[in-house]
Amino acid sequence: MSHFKNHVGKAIPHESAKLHVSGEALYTDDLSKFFPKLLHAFPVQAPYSHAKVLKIDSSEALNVQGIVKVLSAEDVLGVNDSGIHHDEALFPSEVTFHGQAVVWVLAENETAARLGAAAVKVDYEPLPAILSIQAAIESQSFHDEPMSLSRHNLSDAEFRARFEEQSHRLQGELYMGAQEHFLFI
Amino acid sequence: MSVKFTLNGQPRVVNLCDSHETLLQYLRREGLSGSKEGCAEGECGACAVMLLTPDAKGQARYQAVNSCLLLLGSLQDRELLSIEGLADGNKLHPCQQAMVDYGGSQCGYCTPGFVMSMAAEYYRSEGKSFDLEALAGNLCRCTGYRPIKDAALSLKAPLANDPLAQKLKQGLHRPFYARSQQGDEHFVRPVHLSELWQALDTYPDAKLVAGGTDWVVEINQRYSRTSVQIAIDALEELKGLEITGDAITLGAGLCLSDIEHELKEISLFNQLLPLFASPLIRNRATLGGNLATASPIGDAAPVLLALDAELILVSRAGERKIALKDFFLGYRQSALKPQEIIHSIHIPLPLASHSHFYKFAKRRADDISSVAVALACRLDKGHISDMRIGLGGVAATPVRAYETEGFLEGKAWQLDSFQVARKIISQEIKPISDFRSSAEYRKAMVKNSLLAFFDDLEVRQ
Repeated sequence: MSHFKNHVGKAIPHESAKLHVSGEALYTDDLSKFFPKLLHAFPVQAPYSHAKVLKIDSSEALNVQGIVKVLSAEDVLGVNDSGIHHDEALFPSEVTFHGQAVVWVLAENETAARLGAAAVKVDYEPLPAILSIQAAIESQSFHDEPMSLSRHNLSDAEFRARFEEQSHRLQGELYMGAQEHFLFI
Repeated sequence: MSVKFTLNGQPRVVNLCDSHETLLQYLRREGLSGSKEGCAEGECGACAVMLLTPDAKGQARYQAVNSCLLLLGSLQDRELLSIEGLADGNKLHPCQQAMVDYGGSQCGYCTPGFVMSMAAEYYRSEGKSFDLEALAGNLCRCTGYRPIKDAALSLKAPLANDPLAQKLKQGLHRPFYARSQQGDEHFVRPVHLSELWQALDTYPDAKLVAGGTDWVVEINQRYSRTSVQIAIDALEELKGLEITGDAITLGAGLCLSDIEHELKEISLFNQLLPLFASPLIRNRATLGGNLATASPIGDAAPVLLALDAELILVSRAGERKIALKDFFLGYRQSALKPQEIIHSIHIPLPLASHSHFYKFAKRRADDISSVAVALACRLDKGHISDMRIGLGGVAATPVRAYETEGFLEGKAWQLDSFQVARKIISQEIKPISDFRSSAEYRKAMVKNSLLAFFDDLEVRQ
């Protein structure tokens, strides 16, 4: 216990406080200053929730000053996978969510990478997408088996029968909108 | 061509390769990584720096600003401090020390920005009464703010030998006309209207940039680019502020925080400005910019409509006056002709005896309105006269609710009048639903503002 004596009842500053307040604390993006030749990557993002990627034209992007390379599936020597195995494709031929990265642009600085990504032309064939719970129910598209809550180990039929017996029943649907939250990401 | 300015006491000469480069990008590529990019749209304050600028009386002061929204080209001849320039050698600045002592940091990412906002207010308040509002443009996700407030409120007056306080006494460098070019990109920063007209003769389609708090967001978030930009933030002719017997005249280029300070007793401005974005934005944003973008929800427009403001527009050909109610022509379209700018805003006096501003947004502060409502009238023996209602966020432009105003004119100041007016305004406005609000919500807020107006002023009487 003796080693607590020097601390209890005293305000001990955060061990990095001086680095924080002076701006000297280093965060991931701050480390780039130690790598002067570091390239910056920026994704070309799909504007569809579900689509087939038909054609990628990088010719205009390559004219943007500072662009080094537009990375696409052709550059993958091994498995075109964003994770270890059987993950989503790093360079997908079919887009499955809005904003999915289709190709990545490498450039000498971040601005050039962003501008380069904006200059890549991608042709898509939009495919049907289910975008709401209601639409998912209507098309019987479920992520999992239907779930139910029950008590007393009753069968579904028994449970429903008990339910019908009750004098007070409340039913309805509740939708919650998206919650906007400001985050540093 | 290059840009010259003073950073942390040292002269800097920057060869401008990209006329859209921001101060934040420059600082970070120079290895000064204490200023952080949290949002790149002036919302989080993690990139705050201090700019030495003249106040409304021409005295030097430190202004905390978002470096992510400052174009490098507009910094010619300016002097500024980043977090790296705050400490006196190895000795932490009093604001830095207070943040250490009171546990004001946790992950530390937002801390340099907080320290810079705090330092600017430290020199302004001189230990008299630190205004916590000065920190309202800085967001922190870890500390819950209390230890940051404790740090701020613990500050004493700067010592007599404080190097940054002494710097203020040395006064300011005067900015001069500046122009830079790289390939097809041009950046011009005139300081007099005559220089602006010359620049516009050469570049008639140039993008005019005042505070940059709207345009630079476009640059950062939508990668908007244009070949010629003219910074009008240093135009001396746009900085006037005059209150005479029959009008208040505000230079279109005054920053909002200066107007806030000078008009803190003036009704509607003292309700509008504390709710307008954040102090870091208000230190750069201008009334001229807010009106010229002709946004349907620019918060200043409803207030100025309710105050029956007129605009003085100026071009090489001369001046003309236009009532603000005739200025907005369509979605982001105004009556400004090519090569014409807003010179000043003219508000007739006496002001309405009864007025109130209501802003509805998702956050109480530092947010864009869903709906903004400004109401103003006079009372003549218990009857309403000169009723004016300015609305933002209910149409493609800021609008007046003429029909409702007409109904209320001459009516008795009593609840019944406003209850009927609610029904009329409900028919009169046709707001849309978008990601900020539904049409129904907007309508409900406008209707309820009429009752709130009656209630709030009834209490005050």
